[in-house]
Amino acid sequence: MIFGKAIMRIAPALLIAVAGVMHSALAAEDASSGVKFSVEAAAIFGKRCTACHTYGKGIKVGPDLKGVTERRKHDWLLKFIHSSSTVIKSGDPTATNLFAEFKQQRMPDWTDLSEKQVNDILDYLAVGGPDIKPDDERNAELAAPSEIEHGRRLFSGRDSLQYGAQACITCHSIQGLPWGGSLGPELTQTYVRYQDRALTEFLRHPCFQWRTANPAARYLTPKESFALKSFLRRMALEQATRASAQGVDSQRATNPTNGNSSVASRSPRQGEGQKP
Amino acid sequence: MNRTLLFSAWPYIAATLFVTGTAVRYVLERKNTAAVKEEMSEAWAVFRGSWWWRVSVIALLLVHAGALLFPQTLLAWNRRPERLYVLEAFALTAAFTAMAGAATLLWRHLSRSNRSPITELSDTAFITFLLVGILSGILMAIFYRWASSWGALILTPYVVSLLRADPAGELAAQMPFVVRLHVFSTFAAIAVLPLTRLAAFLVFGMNAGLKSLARPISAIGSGAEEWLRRHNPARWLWPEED
Repeated sequence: MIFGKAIMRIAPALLIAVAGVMHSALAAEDASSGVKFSVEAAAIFGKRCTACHTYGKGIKVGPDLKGVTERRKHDWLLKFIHSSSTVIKSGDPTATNLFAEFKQQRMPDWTDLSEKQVNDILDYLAVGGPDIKPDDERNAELAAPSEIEHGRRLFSGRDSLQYGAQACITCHSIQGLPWGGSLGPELTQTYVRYQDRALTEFLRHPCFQWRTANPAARYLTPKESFALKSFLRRMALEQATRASAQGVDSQRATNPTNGNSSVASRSPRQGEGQKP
Repeated sequence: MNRTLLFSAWPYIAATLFVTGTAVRYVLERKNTAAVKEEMSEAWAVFRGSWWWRVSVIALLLVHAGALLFPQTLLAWNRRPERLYVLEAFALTAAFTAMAGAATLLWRHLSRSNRSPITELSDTAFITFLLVGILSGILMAIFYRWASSWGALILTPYVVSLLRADPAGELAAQMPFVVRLHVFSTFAAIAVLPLTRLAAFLVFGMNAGLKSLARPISAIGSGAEEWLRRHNPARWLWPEED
């Protein structure tokens, strides 16, 4: 009974602590430039705003949103995003001008967004969030040795993945790491097959039906995705180098006079154009 | 048949057959305690097997229960490769032992038949499903390494989804054939269980459980009857009749 009471007492505190950790994990993401913004705001912007607005690419259905936080007052933006119809009906000159300028097409009322969510979106726009390239979109060629090593540790499960996904080695094997799983395919040539951009896209989605206690949680952070992609590239290059070396050895064995074979002179990157 | 539909519906069909079969057996046999006890001793003779068989089956059940009840603990354990190897080696050894035990049981059972064809057929089917389940488990461990890890990630959520009545059949349907066979044969064994001699244990357990549940209700009823006898309201309601 005492134990039960103690659990009941500490449970709310534990819940708050867990919720706090999860919130902070989702609230701010360190992008490649070091600028922080809300991941949720970026997602809402991508889902709701980009259908009608661009960021720095001109007018679409509505105005270009680059610099909007400097052009308009914060309170006005807050009211307009929540209910543009109310602001237009009130006779606000800026709102009525916009309404006339954009062929009387009114922006939907986003009444379901909280004030914090709208503020986060405005902050995201103010720091130039849409222009910031996510970490995972960097080309794996640019990876530092520490990032490749981080990828190796994530792949093998020595470092945990932030959102609770299981290490790749649970289901996959790769040359150079012993005792990988065999449920999924062997991944040594993955980078060669997919190339950088497609692999980036692939790593944004779970490779099997993945359920988590927190539905808002994503699969990999951009940094983890980049580290894994860099590690896969390194493994593909190492395998190609080994294959080249073996090719030289076998050619030397069959034809000792011709040591400078075409296989030996082949760059590891030449094989990267292959399709799956 | 659509695989996702199969793995969404089959567990519930198996559970329905299990519950209905057990209920029917209970209704038919609950009053014949002597027959139930005799059938229990027969079941023990058929399914007892060797000490190794019993221990290996219990070990396998515990490993599966651990993966179903504490998947995160299991995944944390498996994070260190040496611990993963120990667990997998232990489970594989238990599975080989259990397979040998199940094969022996089936062989012995087929060589002696003395009851109704339905019971004999059901016992044979049950042991066969067990054997298929164990064999497919061994093949999984050999061809799809680290099933204790990916099983906790994929099959545990599948079972949880079934318990929540929100079946995620696609989780099992996307798996290789031996994994699907493992899942299917497990539910098949559950479905035929009430038709086997082992159902006597279920009837006995249900009888004992319901009796122990009924005891407090019966005690309350007796107490109320006693209280009413002592404080008979008729004396106050119709005093002239005394």
